[in-house]
Amino acid sequence: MFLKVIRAEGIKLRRAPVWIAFCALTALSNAMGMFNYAQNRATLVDGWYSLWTQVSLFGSFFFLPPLLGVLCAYQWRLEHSENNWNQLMTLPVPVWMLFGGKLAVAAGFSLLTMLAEGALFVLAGWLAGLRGALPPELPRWLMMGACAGTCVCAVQLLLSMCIRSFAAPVGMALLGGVLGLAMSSMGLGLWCPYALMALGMNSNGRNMLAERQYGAFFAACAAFAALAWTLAAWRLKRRDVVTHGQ
Amino acid sequence: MLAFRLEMKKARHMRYWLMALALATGQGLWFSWVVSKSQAEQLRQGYMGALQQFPVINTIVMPVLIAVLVSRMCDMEHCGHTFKQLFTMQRPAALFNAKLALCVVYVAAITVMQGAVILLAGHMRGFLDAPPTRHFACFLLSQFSVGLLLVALLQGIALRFHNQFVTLAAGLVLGFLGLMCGFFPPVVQRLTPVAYYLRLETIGYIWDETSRITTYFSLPFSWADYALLWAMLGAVYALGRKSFVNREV
Repeated sequence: MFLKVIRAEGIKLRRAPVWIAFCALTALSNAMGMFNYAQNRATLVDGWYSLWTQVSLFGSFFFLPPLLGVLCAYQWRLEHSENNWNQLMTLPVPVWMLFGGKLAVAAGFSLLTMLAEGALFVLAGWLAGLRGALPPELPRWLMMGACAGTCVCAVQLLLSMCIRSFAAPVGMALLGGVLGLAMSSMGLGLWCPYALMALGMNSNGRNMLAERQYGAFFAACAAFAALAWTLAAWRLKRRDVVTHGQ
Repeated sequence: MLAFRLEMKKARHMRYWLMALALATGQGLWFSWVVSKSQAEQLRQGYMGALQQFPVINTIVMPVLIAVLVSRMCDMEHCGHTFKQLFTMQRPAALFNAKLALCVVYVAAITVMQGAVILLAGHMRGFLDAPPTRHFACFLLSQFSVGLLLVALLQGIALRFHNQFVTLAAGLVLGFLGLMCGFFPPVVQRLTPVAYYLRLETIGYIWDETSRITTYFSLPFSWADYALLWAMLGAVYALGRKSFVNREV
């Protein structure tokens, strides 16, 4: 039944223009990173590793969380409009599945974004004249980035479910990114869901996470996602819905 | 004036001011933290440093914040299908101008709050230089004017498209361009709305790698760029207004 819920959520996003923003921002981020790397070769001497910092550092703090926030807000916008909450809540599925279906689709987007990020990073490196072997850590960075992206999606889905405004949760994601930057500077990144992307992707190129902290990283991702999911299910069970007509 | 008062009433309980306050507070905390980490030498040019760094942060955060603000103001009309009612009671141009005016009030408030945060941070951290009046005035003028341009641009998009996803995506793309615009050649910078945050700065800096100390120096205010900004603002405003006035109800 859960698979059917996920499929229904996927159908709701058909023909939605969301993918354009994901493609545009990922391509822009890589193009600008490559341009910046090419301009500063004298100081950025670490090859693929230097290019990775240029491509991922600001994106993981300032742009990917709001972008995922836009996707999550878009998913709930449909339910907030007209009388769709009434239909949603009378579906013959447990409420945790309603949230879980949306989270699964958002996690898919997060994974696709990371795959695109990886492919464009390789292309940007080739265009910038890098010919050596790719960093062996790249698949791990991308996988951990996708995990952290899923965690951000869970928090953003909870916010977008509770707040009827489309734009407000996106603004919160931006402020969350700023908070994430501040907390990771203080060494408290694992305690902020918005800092996890940069940590997982090793965006500043200085081994933001030690190998022994990988377990803590995945535990933090799972804990934030589970907390958001539980709170959402609890709220869906306990609180009455408000439809557009009321 | 009546249209503006109506917009003010629509904004009641929307807590737009909360976003402005959160941004100013966040920037203040971040800057206090930066100052606390920097060397004592930096306190000698504390205000100059703040007035140089705030516009850099604004290039990234302000487009997204303004997109959120404008989108919320315009989305209520799209969601409520209110245009068919409003257009029979007030001129579309007046409605467009009233929404723009309210956004301008919020942008002005954000600018003033940022100025206050700089003064407060300077007082609390004990900056040794006096607040430079000319640079302060140029900071307030330039931040407000660029904010105005972004409001006009994003409001045109928010009223044109029912789906507010477009407005927010535009805000994100502008923020990203803001992040990278420092590397653009001057001609491209002049065509990028967010780049005016940097082009209108009146403070430059030199970073000494050995002593790790940044020295700030004065730059003349670029009146030519400021005139170009207003020309762009006029064009963006006229296009957005025309698009809104001519839309099908």
